[in-house]
Amino acid sequence: MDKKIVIALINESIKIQIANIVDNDLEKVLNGTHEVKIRIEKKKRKVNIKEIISIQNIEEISNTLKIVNTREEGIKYLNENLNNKLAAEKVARYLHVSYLKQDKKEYIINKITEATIGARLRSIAIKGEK
Amino acid sequence: MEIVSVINYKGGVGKTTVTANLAAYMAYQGKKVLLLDMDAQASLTFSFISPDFWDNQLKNEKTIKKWFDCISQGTPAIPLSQIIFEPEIINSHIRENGKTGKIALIASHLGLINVDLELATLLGGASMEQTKRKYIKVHGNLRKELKAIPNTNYDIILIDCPPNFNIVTKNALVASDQILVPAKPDYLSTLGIEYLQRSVKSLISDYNDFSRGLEGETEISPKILGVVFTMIQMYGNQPIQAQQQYIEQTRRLGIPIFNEYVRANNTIFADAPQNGIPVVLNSYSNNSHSGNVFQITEFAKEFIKKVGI
Repeated sequence: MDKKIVIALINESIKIQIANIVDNDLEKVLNGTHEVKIRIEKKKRKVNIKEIISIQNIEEISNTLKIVNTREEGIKYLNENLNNKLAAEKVARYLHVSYLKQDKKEYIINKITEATIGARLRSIAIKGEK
Repeated sequence: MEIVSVINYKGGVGKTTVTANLAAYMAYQGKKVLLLDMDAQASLTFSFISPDFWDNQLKNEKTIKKWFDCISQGTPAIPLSQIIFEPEIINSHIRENGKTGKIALIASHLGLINVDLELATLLGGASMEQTKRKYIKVHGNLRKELKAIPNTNYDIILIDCPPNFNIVTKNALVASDQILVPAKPDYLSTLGIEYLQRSVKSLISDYNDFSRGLEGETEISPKILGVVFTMIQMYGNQPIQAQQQYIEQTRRLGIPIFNEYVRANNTIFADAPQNGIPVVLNSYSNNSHSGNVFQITEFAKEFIKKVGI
């Protein structure tokens, strides 16, 4: 076994893991309540996010959310168009909606709805434009 | 000479920090800046002078309350030039660095909070004509005074408003050409932006309706210059995700926003007012501190460009 290659692989893997740490987890480490550990696990089957939802689909979803008038319609639409949590996460990232890694698909969909349709409805209510 | 009000309904969003730093940067760039502190907390005033100096030298005769007192008591208003004061520490710092700009200040007064009730008693009237005249008089006084200041005296007037929409605040907005809205990118602060938009729209409509047909009166049209997001926590050159969400949400609602942010940093912002020199004029060896100063400088440059001075 070539140790140099193994170390290079581990290095690369650590870099990717660090880049994926979400703000919330970073804060926990900063607060000292959590620590970073290295664990070797069996590889999971790679899921190709591109196949789950394309950028065209995301743009279409984003545009639809601009014209949907109620939260309920929005949630129904997102549930029909986002088949799993990864797809919901991808839309959330596109719309800059924050979520936690442990959030369930339904919760992320709610957050997307609040950040788009909800924000628009709140704005109309506050400005008295109804 | 541009007149810009700095306001948000939500308190604690960094209005005074933004105003003080903008003023300091502009003065350092050679601009003549007049600051008008309309917030009864007097935080802007105490960012440039100490409370004991204010108590001994300014409190009785040289504050904006003194001017409003004339209005509410129905006596001729004292000229604003009589209550303008040039804080020594900041202006010495500017001069010592060979710069030609300056900061002048109309100080606030802790008693300004009661002025509103007195002004409110001047409203109303026996006829619609009288009601209109009184409304315009009570809300448009500051506008007339500020417009009377010769253009050559100052390049810009910045008004630090309180986090409310009372008559004192309305006087500031009526007098303004543009409105700057500092906001924290969080749920309640962003709601405050929209409530402010509604209130400004309604104020413009009322004022213009009432001024129409009155001799010597002109319409007002203060514009929302933009929202500057404050207290930003950065992660990898970007605001953290939780804050980015509210920035993008505001952008999606079509509200104009500044590209530059004001970062959070308790270490440098906490005691700057006590020193009398805003952080934007300090140089720090620490990377994170100088990063903050760089970002606030970039915001000030963007502000100058947008305001057009």
